[in-house]
Amino acid sequence: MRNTIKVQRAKKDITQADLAEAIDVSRLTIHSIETGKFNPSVLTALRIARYFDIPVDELFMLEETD
Amino acid sequence: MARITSLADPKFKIPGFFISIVAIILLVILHLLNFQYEEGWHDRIFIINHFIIVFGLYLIMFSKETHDDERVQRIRYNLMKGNYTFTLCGIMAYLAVTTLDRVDFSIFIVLYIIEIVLIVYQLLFRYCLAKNPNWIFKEPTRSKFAVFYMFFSLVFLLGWIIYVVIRYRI
Repeated sequence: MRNTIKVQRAKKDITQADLAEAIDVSRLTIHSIETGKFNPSVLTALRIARYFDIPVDELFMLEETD
Repeated sequence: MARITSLADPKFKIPGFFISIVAIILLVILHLLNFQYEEGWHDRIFIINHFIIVFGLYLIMFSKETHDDERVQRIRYNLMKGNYTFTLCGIMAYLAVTTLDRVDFSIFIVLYIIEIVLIVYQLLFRYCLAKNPNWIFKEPTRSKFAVFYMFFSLVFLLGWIIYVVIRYRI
């Protein structure tokens, strides 16, 4: 699964720590999601999408292999 | 968001750490001094000491982290699976060896197996929390797991049958 969290963060000019604090997870969790190591739960995905005010499918996309 | 959890508060980690460290130091000192108090004293005090170490380690294991989010829960879940598997396999292997009369049974070996696995679990858990390695988040496919378990069960069963046939000349 790909994601555009890094791009969205850059647009909003916020750090991983800022995003982590806003959605109540640790900074390393954001880092793991961003780098694709860890797929978040639906709840966390929805929270991130709500924070950036975009639909979830603009934030997370399935790849060919998924 | 408040979540219902069976895990203890994060504040239990520090008492758990101190309980196990003090009990381990006490165990080492008692072994080094080889102090004799009365008949059977050693075994009684050592058993209590080992139980305190296990209690302290379980207290740490079942305590939440300060930021106990889904990444931490995934790491904990994956490592706990390994923890239970290794503890069970270790104890079963030791029971198998003692049943086959290779060595005398000792409850201390069982306690050592539990303690070593718990300590390794803690070290791996802390490492994974800090370093976020890729392997901890990998989901093994069902087919791979099934093949893995079937292969080792078959090897164990064959080994056991060969041993019994040779040993008891069935």
